[in-house]
Amino acid sequence: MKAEILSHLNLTGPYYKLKLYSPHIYKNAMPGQFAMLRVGETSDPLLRRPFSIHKKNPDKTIEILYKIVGKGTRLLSTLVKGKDMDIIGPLGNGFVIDKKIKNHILIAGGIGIAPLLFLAHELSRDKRSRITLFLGARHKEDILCIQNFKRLKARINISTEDGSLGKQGLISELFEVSLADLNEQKIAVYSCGPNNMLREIHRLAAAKGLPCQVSLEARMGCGIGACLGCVVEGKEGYEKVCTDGPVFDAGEVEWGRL
Amino acid sequence: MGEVIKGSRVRGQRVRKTEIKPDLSVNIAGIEMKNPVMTASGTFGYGIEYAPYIDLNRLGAIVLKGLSARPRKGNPPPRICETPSGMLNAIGLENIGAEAFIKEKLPLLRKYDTKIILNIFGDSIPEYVEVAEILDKVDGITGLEINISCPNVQKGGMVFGTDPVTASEVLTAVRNATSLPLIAKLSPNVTDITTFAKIAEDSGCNAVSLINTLLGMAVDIRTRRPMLANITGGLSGPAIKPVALRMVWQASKAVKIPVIGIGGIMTADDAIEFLLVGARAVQIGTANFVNPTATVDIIEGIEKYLTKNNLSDINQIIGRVVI
Repeated sequence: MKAEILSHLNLTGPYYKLKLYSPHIYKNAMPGQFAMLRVGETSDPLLRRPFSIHKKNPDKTIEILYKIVGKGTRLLSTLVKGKDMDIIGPLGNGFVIDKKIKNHILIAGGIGIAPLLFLAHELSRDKRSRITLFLGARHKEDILCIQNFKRLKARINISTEDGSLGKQGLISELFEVSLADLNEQKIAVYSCGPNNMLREIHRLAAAKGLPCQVSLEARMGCGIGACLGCVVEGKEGYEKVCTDGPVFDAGEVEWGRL
Repeated sequence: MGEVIKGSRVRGQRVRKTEIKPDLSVNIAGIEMKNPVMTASGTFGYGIEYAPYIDLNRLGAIVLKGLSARPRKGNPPPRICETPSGMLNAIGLENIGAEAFIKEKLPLLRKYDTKIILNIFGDSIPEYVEVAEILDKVDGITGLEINISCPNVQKGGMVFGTDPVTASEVLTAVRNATSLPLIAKLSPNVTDITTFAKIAEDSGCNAVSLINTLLGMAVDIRTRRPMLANITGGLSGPAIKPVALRMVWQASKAVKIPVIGIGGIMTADDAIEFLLVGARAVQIGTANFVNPTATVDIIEGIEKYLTKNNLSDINQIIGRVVI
């Protein structure tokens, strides 16, 4: 599938935002789903790269927020406005939204914020939703999307490892503190970030009996469930991140093996 | 296929243009295929995964993920990594087992007008025989491809596919266990591919397919750890195409049974190269990951090539490399 690049911005440092015209993905995408992008036209890099869908806009565009981490994303960052992007999506299973729950806690580590903005937009369609964001990263330059969440009237908690913005420390620590004086029961937790962070978020949420969904990342071959390259160990054997996930109920994941 | 009249005949008076649609059909191992384009085992799941992207009826044949007599969990992750113009995989032959395949997947595939070929493997000769017997005489299965070459499982394919004696033993045993057409999928990790092609022919196999992946390795220099949990894996993709093409050429000259070419085929041009050196069909593997419509694109590209060169039959290019 082709999707025209309408804009491609370097936000700060290694972070980029890509806007694509894709009526198909716009129409079908749910928060937490992803798309497979072909970052070049030659055989190197060979495989497509998976990216979560960051945002949908009424003009039938979608946005991808990404960080340059290697050869594929570096090449992607060179693609310019006006070009057609070769894209497959939406793929995978997104976040499950329980309509009975009005209190939502979104927890992101670094670029893990990408799928959570789309989720926040979807949650905010219910005017009774209360959204709380916990966003952690290494430095303040790695803290993204704060303005977007402010516009959604989310309560925002920030931490950085070097203390350059918000509280110094890990976001899981900030989340743990907030849990201490939490007495409401109807809360759902959604998280995306590094595996070590997700493991800790799962542990804290499970201890409080809170439902927790996590969006996992993996090297992918095909993105459509054929190659079996992206599996993670689940409670009932290997699960494919692409078609069984990328969003999993945190209780299904074998965290000790991740 | 034959002749297709393009344009309309007006009261039987005028035919605007007659275009010969080339005949792409081939017969491999007694299997009549509408074109020479097959999928490569392990890259096409159980077939259904690709139904949203292509019309499966267009394919010459679908070769499905390797099946063993019993389900198999596969290797721990990470299972894949990208390399220059290629990828390494060590999936570890994860599969649902032959019985579950017949019950859960085969009914979904029967409705398609294509040939279903099952790739099989085992850890021992009795296991190869067992899976062949389970699949023998099951409605909807056209043939078996025997994996004697998968490099990923220590006790698995490698041992059979790289030793002439065990290769012969396992192929003969499977031959005696089924009346289905048999394709032996050969390992490239040998000194002389023709030795193994001849062994397959002498064991009663109806065709050989080659090459399976080349054994490879990659290391993350930051962590100093191998990129794959299994340490080594099978290399596939455009990087291996010249090696595959050379081996297909050698094997085609060495045996009378059909040779199916596999290895880094991404485009119709790649597929035509294999046909020219003697392959009577091709399998498309890693390309399916990059481009889910690769198989159909390649079929259309081969057709265009024939039309452009005024050829009416695919057989007019098979083995016609000019040396």
